[in-house]
Amino acid sequence: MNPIERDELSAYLDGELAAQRRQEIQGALANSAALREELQRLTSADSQWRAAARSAVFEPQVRLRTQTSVGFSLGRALLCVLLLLAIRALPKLANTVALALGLNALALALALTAVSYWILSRPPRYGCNTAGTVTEPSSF
Amino acid sequence: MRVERQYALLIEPLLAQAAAYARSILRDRQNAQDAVQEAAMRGLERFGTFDSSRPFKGWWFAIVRNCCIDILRQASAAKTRDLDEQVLAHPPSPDTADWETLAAAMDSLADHHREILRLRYFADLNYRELSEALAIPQGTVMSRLHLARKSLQARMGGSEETE
Repeated sequence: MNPIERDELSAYLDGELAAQRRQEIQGALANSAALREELQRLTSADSQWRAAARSAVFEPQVRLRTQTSVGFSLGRALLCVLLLLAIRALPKLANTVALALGLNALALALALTAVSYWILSRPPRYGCNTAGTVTEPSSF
Repeated sequence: MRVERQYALLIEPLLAQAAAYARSILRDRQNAQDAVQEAAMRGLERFGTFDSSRPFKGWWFAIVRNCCIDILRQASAAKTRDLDEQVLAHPPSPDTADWETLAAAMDSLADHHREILRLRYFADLNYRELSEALAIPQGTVMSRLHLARKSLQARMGGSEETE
């Protein structure tokens, strides 16, 4: 067995050694009081530092927005405007009252569809709630 | 949009640790919040270049670290409030005394020891992630972390100085 290097004790404590080397160090620990004492010191300090570091934790609020999202929003808004213009244009093509009413209804339905689509499919925005987790994309 | 969602899911479990890590560097909760927000955005911009065979956590915490350094530099350049003034403006409260004591002890160490200890304890990075964040081999992580621990023990009233 290779001699135990002191930095391997740290790696042993951190669970970062390969299984075979871990077993070798366990064997060395069983036979060496000095090694056990050193590991004990490392373990004790490690526990204290971990506990201290945990007291720094807080839940940040994070929001993610991209330029791509803005582009998509503008595209949808443009589509909406074009369909709204259709409300005014379509009835003028009709030469009978019934056809004009039908085209008006069609134009209105198109416009409502466009507005609904725009509202319901705006790009997702990720953010953190007060618990600090990134929220699922939400629709507006 | 799938990329954004994928990225959001990856950083979500890391946010609290990132906040603690940034706080250990900046010593200020609001600045730490700003650093994490900036890191989240910067990471998203660079997510396309991320190599998925490497540990994401190490990659992202390197960005968090750079954002903290940028904030420190900005504060220094502005000369309106340096780090000492910041610390004085936010004296330790009972619930933060533990981490501030630890962070102060780490501050007294050599740069490379301080960095690895912050990432290990405040960010909870494993050896592979430390290797990625610090751009050093895993063998170096092991030896550096051990020496850093011994130095910190000495600073905090433990055993002999080994640095």
